[in-house]
Amino acid sequence: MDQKFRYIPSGDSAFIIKAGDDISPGTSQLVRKLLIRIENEQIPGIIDYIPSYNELMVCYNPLVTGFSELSARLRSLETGLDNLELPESSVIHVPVLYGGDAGPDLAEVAQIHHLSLQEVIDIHSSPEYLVYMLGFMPGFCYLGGMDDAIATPRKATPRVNIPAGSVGIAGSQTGIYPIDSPGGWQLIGKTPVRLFDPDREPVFLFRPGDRLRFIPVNEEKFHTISIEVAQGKFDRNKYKIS
Amino acid sequence: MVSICIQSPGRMTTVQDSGRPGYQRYGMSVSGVMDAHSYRLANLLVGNHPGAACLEATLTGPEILFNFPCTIAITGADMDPRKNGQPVGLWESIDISGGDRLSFAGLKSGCRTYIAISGGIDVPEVMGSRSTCLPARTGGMEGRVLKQGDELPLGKGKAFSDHLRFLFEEDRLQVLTNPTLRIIPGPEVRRFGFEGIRNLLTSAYTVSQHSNRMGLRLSGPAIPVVNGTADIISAGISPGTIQVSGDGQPIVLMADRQTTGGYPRIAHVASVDLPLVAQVKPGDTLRFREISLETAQSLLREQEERFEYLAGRG
Repeated sequence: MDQKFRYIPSGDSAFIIKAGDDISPGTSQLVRKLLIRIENEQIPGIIDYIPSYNELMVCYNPLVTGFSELSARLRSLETGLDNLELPESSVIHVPVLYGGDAGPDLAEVAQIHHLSLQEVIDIHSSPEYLVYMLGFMPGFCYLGGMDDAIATPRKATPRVNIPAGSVGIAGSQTGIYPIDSPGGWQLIGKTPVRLFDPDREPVFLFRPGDRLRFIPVNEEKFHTISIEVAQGKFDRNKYKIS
Repeated sequence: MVSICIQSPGRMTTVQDSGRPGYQRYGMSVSGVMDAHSYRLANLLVGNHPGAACLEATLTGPEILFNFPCTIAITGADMDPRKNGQPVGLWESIDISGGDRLSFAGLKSGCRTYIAISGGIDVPEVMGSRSTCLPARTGGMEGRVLKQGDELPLGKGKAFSDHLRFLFEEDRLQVLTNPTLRIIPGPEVRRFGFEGIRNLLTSAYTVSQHSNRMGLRLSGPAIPVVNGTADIISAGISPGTIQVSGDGQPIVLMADRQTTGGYPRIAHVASVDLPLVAQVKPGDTLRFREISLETAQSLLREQEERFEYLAGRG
């Protein structure tokens, strides 16, 4: 039997299944395959899942099932996991207005790396980023793929309030604030798109495994999209900027 | 509309129910009540379904005006409840008439009081729950703590008319200022050396001022990491997880916890003891004792049997 997964209790109502010890697209795929495989079984007593970079947390009701019972059952699902096809991941375009009031730290980031503003924008908006996982805040994506050429330390003094939609850099990570929050990220731009909206279906713009592209837009386009978003016309599957 | 009116909100009162699981993969906290024991019994005492929404008051209680007859129950922390100025008991059904006023004279013990009202608080469900998630500003009353003048709608009638009216001492949660919590070792326990684990299991840890519905920050003898790094690759957090931050101090994660975190998970508080965590306040102390996963789950089953017995006692 394949023993690459390790099952470890995490309290009396959850356990983790470790798929590896690294942050890599391969380990991430294993975690997602495992989640799809388990979820398809609709096992009674499982309440929730938290997939992360290298493990899957399974939350269960211990009055219905137990660790030994569940881990034995899930182990039997591991065979053939390598052959399981993951559904094609969505590529979601996130329009960003870079610099100015929308991205007050763009100039600082450019200066630190001796780049022009446009070079920072080009470097930030060229990769296709992988959404490894969500956490920290509702709808917040942990993205992989940023070019180290624009990796920038956090601000020495965090801001008291960063508005939702702000796009920032912290170390070698880039991310989007889904809700207003305090924080120390270097803010380089802002998107009118909502990553978390309880009144919308889907509530969350991204799912683990999705891919993301930042699309630079001008102020006019930013406002047009803001209006579409406010009117509920934004569709994550159809929305593409040519 | 059948509703209650908040005359004064107290320090931090929110609408809560059993929480909002199912969205943790998107970074959405579960939320819900901090003290599930007191919450469940409060609903039993007014004939509500176990998941009905109630009020959770922190450190000081609200003042509430009722405009219709109903049944209420107050459980958890003793904040010296009064009906029209006269003392009323905790852990029992209280009949309310239109025009009655509920208030609290001051905290005597514990930290969080639950107020269940027959019919339940009927704010709109958001993603399947009425609980307030303060960090996401979602659910409950407009995603926020209650304020003066709030009118909270109530559900129609009682779910069960022939319900339990009082609880014996043994079924009430015994709130303590220095509880010993039973814990189960966590996934990263081996990162900590003998000294750190001995500290955790033999010392008193003080609850810091920086404690809230997300978690309790503790201070006491340091628990250093000796194997590997003081950070882990960000990963899932279950209720009652004890993380150890970079300075060697433990944090107990509670209802509004983030779904993932990057500190090593040294241990987890047994579910049956989480209500005791909900009832300590800054300055109180916690101690820890190790039990097995099997013991933790059998304690939970025993408690569930008791609750089911009480639900059927009527």
